[in-house]
Amino acid sequence: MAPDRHPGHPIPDTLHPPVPTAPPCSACNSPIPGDARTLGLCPRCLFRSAVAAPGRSSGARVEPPTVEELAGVLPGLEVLELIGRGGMGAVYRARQASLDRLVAVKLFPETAAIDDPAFAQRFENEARILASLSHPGIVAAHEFGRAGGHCYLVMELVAGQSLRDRLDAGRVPVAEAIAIAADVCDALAYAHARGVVHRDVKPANVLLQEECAAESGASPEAPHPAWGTGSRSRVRVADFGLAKIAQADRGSSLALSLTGPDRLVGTPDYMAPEQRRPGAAVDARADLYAVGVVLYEMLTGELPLGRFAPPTTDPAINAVVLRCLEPAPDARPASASELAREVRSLAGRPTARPRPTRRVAAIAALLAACLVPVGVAYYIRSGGPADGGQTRRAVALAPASQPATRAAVLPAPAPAPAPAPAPAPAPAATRAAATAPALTTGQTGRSATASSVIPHSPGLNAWTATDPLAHLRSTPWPPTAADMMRRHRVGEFPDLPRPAYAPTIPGPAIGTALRPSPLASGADAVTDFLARAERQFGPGQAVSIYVTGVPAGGGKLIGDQLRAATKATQFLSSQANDVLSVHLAPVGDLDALAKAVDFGTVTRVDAEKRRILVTAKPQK
Amino acid sequence: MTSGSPSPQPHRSPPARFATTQWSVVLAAANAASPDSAVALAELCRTYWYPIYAFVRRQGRSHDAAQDLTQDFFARLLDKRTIDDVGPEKGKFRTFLLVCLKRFLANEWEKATAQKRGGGRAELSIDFADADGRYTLEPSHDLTPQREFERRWALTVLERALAALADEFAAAGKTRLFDALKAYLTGDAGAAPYADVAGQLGMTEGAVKVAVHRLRERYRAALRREIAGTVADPAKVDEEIADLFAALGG
Repeated sequence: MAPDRHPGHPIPDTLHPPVPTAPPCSACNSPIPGDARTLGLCPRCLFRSAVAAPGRSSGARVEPPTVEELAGVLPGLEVLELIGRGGMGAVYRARQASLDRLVAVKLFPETAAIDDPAFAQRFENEARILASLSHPGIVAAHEFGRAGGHCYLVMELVAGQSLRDRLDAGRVPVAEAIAIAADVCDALAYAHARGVVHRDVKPANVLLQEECAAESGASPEAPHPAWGTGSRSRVRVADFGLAKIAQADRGSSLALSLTGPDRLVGTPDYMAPEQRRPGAAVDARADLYAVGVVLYEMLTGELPLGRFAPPTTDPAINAVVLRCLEPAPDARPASASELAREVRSLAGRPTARPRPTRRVAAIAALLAACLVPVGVAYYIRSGGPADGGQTRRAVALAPASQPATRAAVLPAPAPAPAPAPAPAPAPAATRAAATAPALTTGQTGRSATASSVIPHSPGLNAWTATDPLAHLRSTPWPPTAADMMRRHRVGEFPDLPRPAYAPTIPGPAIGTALRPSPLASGADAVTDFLARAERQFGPGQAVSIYVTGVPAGGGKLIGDQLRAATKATQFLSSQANDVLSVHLAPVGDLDALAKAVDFGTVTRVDAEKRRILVTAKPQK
Repeated sequence: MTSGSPSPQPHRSPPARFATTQWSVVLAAANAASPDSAVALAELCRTYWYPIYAFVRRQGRSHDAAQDLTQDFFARLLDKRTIDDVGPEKGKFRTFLLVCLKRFLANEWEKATAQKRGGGRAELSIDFADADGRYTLEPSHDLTPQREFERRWALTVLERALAALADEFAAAGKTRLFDALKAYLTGDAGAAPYADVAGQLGMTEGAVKVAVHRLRERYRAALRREIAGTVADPAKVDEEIADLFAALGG
């Protein structure tokens, strides 16, 4: 024990008469302070037990209170049993004494309110809005309150099963999937019109209410009735807007809904790309994305992840589903009511059949590929937020291989197998090969590269000869700088001067093409600068910008511009021939800097090595 | 409050204190002189006055002088919006208070106010009665006033958390359970085995284990709640716990 010694004057003994020390704590062997009113317990051990245990709400699972613990806690409610639990809280079945009816009570963990002081206020605001929603497709919220440290929400108790349970039991028939999706869209349209975005549409939140139990008023004490395949059920969407309560608006998100080993909760698979980024603007179209995911899952039994195949054999259904799954919100249907209309128009299409699972298709494709060179077109969903979907549409401008590709790969509207390229032994393989469109080998080179690298939208789907929804598509995105460069390099714009360099090979090519001549300050100054920047600001804070096509003397202006844009305090620049290299620190946001460049065209952004390549605009 | 009662009484939830005594509330309303933030600040001061007193005492002053100075300090703090002056220390109430205190004590101003007493000045209702007794109960050591302040602060936080926890159990009618199990708050070592307590309470050993686990969780929640009340950013709660733990360790 080496406490800070008191400086200067000594303390008079009269003020601190010596007292016998208390016996030390048996666990930590430190003296228990005489003035500690901690129930006779050692304060250090108390703190240690608070520090050591993983009690954080975002770490370990917090056990919801038992029914006994809740007895008498929630006013006017008699809690009967725990019927569900997830990362956002627990749901109980309870009886509301005053009205003698059964209700569902959703209880938020008390750590939520502790960790985030504004939680209770947000909860109240949201709950009020939720209670105002009244629609046959939405589970009604009756009351809300705070008691015993918990925030709780009293909701309608819905008898039936969730779509999650239904999906776990097996795939949903196409007609039913369409009907469910349409009902969900209706409910969403109603809520969106009132300014409420669900933000957490997923099968667990779509309840399929048993009609017979709802209408006949069967005994409320009976357990949930089993699902009947014959009866049509009412679709009820639950948990509107609760995700907004759970997520803090600040960067430090509670992430209540993203924790827990439950599969029901914490899966971001249904979230739109803009929702997964912190701080991005989320509007009603994020819900439509989720509807797309849910619909896809209903049709195929799988989630649309990475490169995913079209869900059915019917291009119209596929078009609707895939339009919902567009990464850019502007490309999705503009509203839930529009989507509802589109989905309903798909009802009654007799020829639609769900696709085989990916596994089967993979085996079939392998077999088919062994026999005949075929290319398979897959839909790739863009996962990277940096693109924002901008690179998608570049394929629209790919050279004239498109029409030939289209002709080669018409869809198979009928389930009858197209003339198989070669006899495939397994029937499943035949079916899959039939629905897998084939690209002629001559085109495989460029188009395959394009389709495998640049995700494209269904509008550019090579195997749909006619696009019934073409009139609904928004205008295509302009080509990106990367695309323009690529096309320039292959000589598409003969009028323009050839580019100064062709950065097709990453990494070393940049260095060898652009490193200033050894006679200049050279690599040592740069290494020093980067090392200094790392010492001063930490790793990953320095950025190197290489600009080509800079005339002599133009470097100063560009350097000043960059410094002003980033407010960087450390700066190093050098120019050799017409290549200017600028190094800055600290710069956090690489993408923002790339966007801020207006003295030239950004041709490459390397987030890993923190380099930006720019081609300066030609001087007039 | 037994289970199954036909008309259960509403649980006495923590009152508005939870919402109004947040340090973040005070900070948010720093510029606007709203009555809510003033009330919140007063509440916070009333809670954490003892470390201030201990600091002043540790500087070598007598009980009466320390009492006056503590009251003067709080009066000045509440009268004038000193919150706007403070920079990075705003993050935690503890550090803010300490900075203000040091500034106050170094200031000539304190001598000036020592003259005027009473006369319409808002005084916090603090019970200094046993302050002196508590203070001298310490085993003598040489902590600096600042270290003393932090140490007392840590103890105050603990006391309040434990008091809140005891209240929770008392409101649920489970005081006996709490008294029996509180020894396990610091861990299993050194406490009686579960079987003994189980027999004493008429519960099974498994039930005791579960009860202890829940008690620890409630305690942690209470402690975090207490600390969150003095910290502006909830992400800093862990940091504050670590700081206070260190303050006790020296």
